[in-house]
Amino acid sequence: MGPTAIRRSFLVALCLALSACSKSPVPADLHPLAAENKLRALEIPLAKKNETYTVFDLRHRGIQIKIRGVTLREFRVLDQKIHRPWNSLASAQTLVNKGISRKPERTVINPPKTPGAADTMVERLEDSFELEDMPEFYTLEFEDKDRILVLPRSSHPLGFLQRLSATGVRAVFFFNRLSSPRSPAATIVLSPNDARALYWSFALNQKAIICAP
Amino acid sequence: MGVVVDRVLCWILGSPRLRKLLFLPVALAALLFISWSTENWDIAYTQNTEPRMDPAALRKLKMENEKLKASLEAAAPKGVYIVIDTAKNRLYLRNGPKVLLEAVCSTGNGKVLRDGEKNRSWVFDTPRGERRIIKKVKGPVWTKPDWAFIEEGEKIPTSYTERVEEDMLGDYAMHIGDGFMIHGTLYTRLIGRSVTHGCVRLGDDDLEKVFKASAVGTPVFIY
Repeated sequence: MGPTAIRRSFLVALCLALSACSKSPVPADLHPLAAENKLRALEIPLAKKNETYTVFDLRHRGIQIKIRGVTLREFRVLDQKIHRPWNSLASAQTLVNKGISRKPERTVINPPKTPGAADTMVERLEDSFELEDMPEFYTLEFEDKDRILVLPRSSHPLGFLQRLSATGVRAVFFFNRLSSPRSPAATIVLSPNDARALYWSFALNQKAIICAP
Repeated sequence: MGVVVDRVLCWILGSPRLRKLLFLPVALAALLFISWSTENWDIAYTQNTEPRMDPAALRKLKMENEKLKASLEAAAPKGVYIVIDTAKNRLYLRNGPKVLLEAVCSTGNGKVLRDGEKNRSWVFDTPRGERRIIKKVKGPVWTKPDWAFIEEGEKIPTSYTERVEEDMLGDYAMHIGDGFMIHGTLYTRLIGRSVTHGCVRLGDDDLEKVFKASAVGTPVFIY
């Protein structure tokens, strides 16, 4: 083999090596725009109704409460763990259960037997059903058995006490997931106030779109 | 686990009294450690550069994206609309993404009232979803519904005039359907708390601004 042939072979080999090192094109359905398009396509029929819906954009770690395509409130996901991934880029679901150990209870007013016995003009705040009554740990269960566990994280010095409670809740969620071994599941961490607000705002039978990475 | 912790403490400390004192903090510390060590959060998704793609396929995706965005924008309200956050007790006057006014309000107290006699009940929530202003009133009067009498243990009157109470709703009211309104209040110190029977109460200044900025047909989004 002469020097020219060696040089030529070397150049060919170099070109082949460089082309192998460069990234191959991404398939169309894995491009981020494809995920966004899928999300928008699922959102449009929900935006035409007069009800709120919730978008879990776990790809970009945000949750939005929306209506008519308008974001009413947004929550930032501080941390997340996808235990079992979703099969598609985005899926529309209906919330069927908010599972926790204790559901907040409403006060039942017992009308007085005699008129004027109750001074209803003095409004008793402690009986009201408010945001502070909402739980910080809970599971969201959807119609297709998808599950999301919501945990709070506080920067308060006594926030480590929350971590203790969270350990038990995480263990319960782990065993719950075993009952539906093929269904997607994730854990998300929000600030305590956001966790309560999500529980308050996201009502049963409301629609959601889950866009997972 | 309790036995293990006790054995460890016994070995370290020897004294039974110290062992009893330190059992709980050590158990809690062990639980915290287990919790911390089993947490394994996903790394945040980052996209530093746009991935390479067939140009024709990318153009198609972009065109589809523009079309979908336009469809979504078409569903959005045009002009001024009102958003009521019942969790935070806040009312927002918005135009597109711009917030024109943020006001503290009061929304439903969430209590349940039962009328045993006629087997009916009321849940005092501010209704969620989309509504519209169907009527605007200056100097509104309150026509007390049945629940207002039942709650006070009073007999439900037969004549309309016995239901009317003036000066309860402030200077303005905006009806949003099914008897619900955005109105003023005498109890301004309670604004910001969930104390109403479903209506939305505002302070006098904010009420005037919202009344003047909105019109019949203005969407009201409550969540």
